[in-house]
Amino acid sequence: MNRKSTSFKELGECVIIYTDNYLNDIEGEELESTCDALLNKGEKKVIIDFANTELINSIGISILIGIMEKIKDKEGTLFFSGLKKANHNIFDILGLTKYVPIFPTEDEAVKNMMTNNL
Amino acid sequence: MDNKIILDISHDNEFFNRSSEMEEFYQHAISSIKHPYGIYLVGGKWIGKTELLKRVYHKLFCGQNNVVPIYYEFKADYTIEDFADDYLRGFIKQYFAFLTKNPSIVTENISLNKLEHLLADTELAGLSRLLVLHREARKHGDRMAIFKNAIGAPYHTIAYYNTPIFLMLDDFDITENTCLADGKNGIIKEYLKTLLSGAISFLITGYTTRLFQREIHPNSIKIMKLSGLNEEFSVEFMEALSKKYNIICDKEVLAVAARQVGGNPAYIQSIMAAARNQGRNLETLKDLMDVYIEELADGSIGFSLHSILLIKRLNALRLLHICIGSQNGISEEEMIEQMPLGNEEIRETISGLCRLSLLETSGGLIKWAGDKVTEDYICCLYETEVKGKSRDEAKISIVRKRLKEGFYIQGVKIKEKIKEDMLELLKRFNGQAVSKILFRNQDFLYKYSGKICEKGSDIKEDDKIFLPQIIGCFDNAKHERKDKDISIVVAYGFNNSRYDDENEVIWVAGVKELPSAVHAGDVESFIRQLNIIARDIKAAPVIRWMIGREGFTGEALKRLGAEGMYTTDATQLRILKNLIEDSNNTDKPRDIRGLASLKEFEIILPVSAKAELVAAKAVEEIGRNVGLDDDTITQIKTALVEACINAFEHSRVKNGKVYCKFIVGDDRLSLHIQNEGKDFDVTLQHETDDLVKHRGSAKRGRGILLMKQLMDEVRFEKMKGGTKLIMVKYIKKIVEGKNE
Repeated sequence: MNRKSTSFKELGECVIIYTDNYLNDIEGEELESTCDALLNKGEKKVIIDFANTELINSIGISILIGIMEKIKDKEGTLFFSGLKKANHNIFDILGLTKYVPIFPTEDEAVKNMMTNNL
Repeated sequence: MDNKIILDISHDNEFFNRSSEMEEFYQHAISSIKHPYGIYLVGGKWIGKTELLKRVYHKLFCGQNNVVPIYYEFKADYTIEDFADDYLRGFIKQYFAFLTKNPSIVTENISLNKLEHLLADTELAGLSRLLVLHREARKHGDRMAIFKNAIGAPYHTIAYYNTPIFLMLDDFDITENTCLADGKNGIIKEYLKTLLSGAISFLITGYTTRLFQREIHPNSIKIMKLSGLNEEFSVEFMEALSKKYNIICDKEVLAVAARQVGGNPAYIQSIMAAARNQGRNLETLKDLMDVYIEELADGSIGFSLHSILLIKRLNALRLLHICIGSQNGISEEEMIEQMPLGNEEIRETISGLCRLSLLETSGGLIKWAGDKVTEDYICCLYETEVKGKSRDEAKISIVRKRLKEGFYIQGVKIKEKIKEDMLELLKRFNGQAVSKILFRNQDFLYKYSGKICEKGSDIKEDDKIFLPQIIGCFDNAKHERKDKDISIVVAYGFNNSRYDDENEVIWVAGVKELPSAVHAGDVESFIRQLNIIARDIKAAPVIRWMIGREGFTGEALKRLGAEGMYTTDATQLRILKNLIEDSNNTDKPRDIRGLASLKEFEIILPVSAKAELVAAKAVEEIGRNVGLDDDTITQIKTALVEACINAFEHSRVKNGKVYCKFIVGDDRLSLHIQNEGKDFDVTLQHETDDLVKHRGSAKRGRGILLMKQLMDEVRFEKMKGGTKLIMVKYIKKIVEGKNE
């Protein structure tokens, strides 16, 4: 199956992954594949930017949780950015905000990632 | 003269709730001049008959000049001569006093001779003739002439002076136990014949109607019953006395006391006076029973009962005890079997006890006819005299019995109250949004136990439930088993201000108001009753709700939780009432015409990837049209997406479809999602907010939590051939939130 890959950008030690308008099972799996590939390449500082994402469903959230665990296993760092207020609320409800720092914009996330020595 | 007391009456503060009877008797006296008739007022001991008659007398004496009031109280131990002297003297004194408007003559101790002298110089000299005739009859020892002259006095006087007379004869049926009952000729019969001659209106009193049933046709006289004060007035009376005596009282305890003494004003006064004398407050049932038993055994109630009953024979006590123990009465044959006495002796004893108004015979059965207080007095006497128990032991036995009864009465009273409250509360359900925790006792206790919660504002919960608009409710007594403690209230209503089949709903509330927690047995009983009710109401979904005044046992909560029933205790109920009251006070009145502005949108989705986005797009447009902000729209869209994919997953039908209906009302947006397969996955796998830890679980499972958190109301309804999920977002709330 010819699958559209999730877009991402490398910025120094960081990699920023951009999610689509709707994060569901299909988009989630694409996001997970992209992450897997980047982690395998040795990337350890990952920012997922949700600025383009309007809707997230619970399966998409489950996949995100999987990604969080994989990055943790690799002793990497994960930041989220660009979340709309409603989606931020969803992450809150489901407990993701306890484990992943969230920044309003991609730039702020990058700035913090650069200074993060963890 | 109005304020002057002529006959000995109690203080106005101690005369409660007899104004209607007073007025009736007064009108009877002044309006029956042309067509005289008689009233027989029947009532138990010390129920207030004498007080009533004396007050009517006072009012007639002071309030008008046309009818001469005459009051006479029969005495038990008088001979015919004594009676005639007393009756004649009383009659002439009162007649003279009324016409001369000199009330002091009524109470003055004047001999018959002196009366004769007094009358000689007045225009009432005609009355002297009665005294002369009386003296002559006494001289010759003609008892019948003495009697007839005395009872005929009012009739002769009316013929002579043509001034109407109103006769009030108190304790008339006492004559049955006196010399007036002597002989088979029956002097009483003679007396009754005179009274019923129709020449004079009269009001006579007695304990039972037995005399009239036997001696005269009951239709020839109007028989009226005087009962004790009703509970409300009894309590009011006791509260007035407690203020006077400086006694601290609990109203519920006073209500139990009122029932125990049957609203008898004399008993009420005795108990309150006893509490004062014993230095006791009446704050608990135990306080009341302590005062009561002392008053019954060694106080004025006991003394009074002892004086009038004078039961010395043990067999009489045995017989009474058998009748008290037999709720429906006992036949003479059964009594003969149980009593070690000859038939004749038993009949005589029964007859004597009937004359004391302790027993009555009807339909071939002998029944206890006394009040509860007399019953306790007899039981106490039976325990000590017949069974040989100590006084203390006998008292404890009475206290135990009455404490249990009082406890039950308290429960029943509260039951009546809460049930009525529930009916009122349900009637006021009108689409309000209230915290769901008010219907979840376990969660409520977990979060608010030990905190002071009275008002709706004390509850900080976002999770809301929308109450239906109730169109009618009733107390479902026909389905209640008498031996069960759960009362049922059924309320019919509609959700979402939509009067259609889909929105019709029935709330069935099972209420336990007795002072014990709802236990598993109560839940089973409720479920059984629900099953019976459900047969009648197959169409609409039923919301099941249990209310326990004293809460629930753990086992009951577990069972209720498994059944998906709402659970509310007294605290939650109070908050709910306050919330609804507040909402009714502050909300604009709901305008049913708002229905006209309702809009409905329907979409049918195929079960295919991303079909849910079509529904999400539609609801986004609707949300923008009704002025919702972006965040709220995203919340609704997210919940809808979850609902749709859940419906897709559980659709079993090949090429199945998911039906979405969006209803826009004045204050809410309702989303209805229905599939064509098995049930939605309604299980909420993780109640915690930390779902990250549950990564090991299936990917689904968070959807329901999201829907519940993002929407104001989420509920599932089983439909034929599928399941319907209904989600509501309250538009008003969003607007308010925005304003804040």
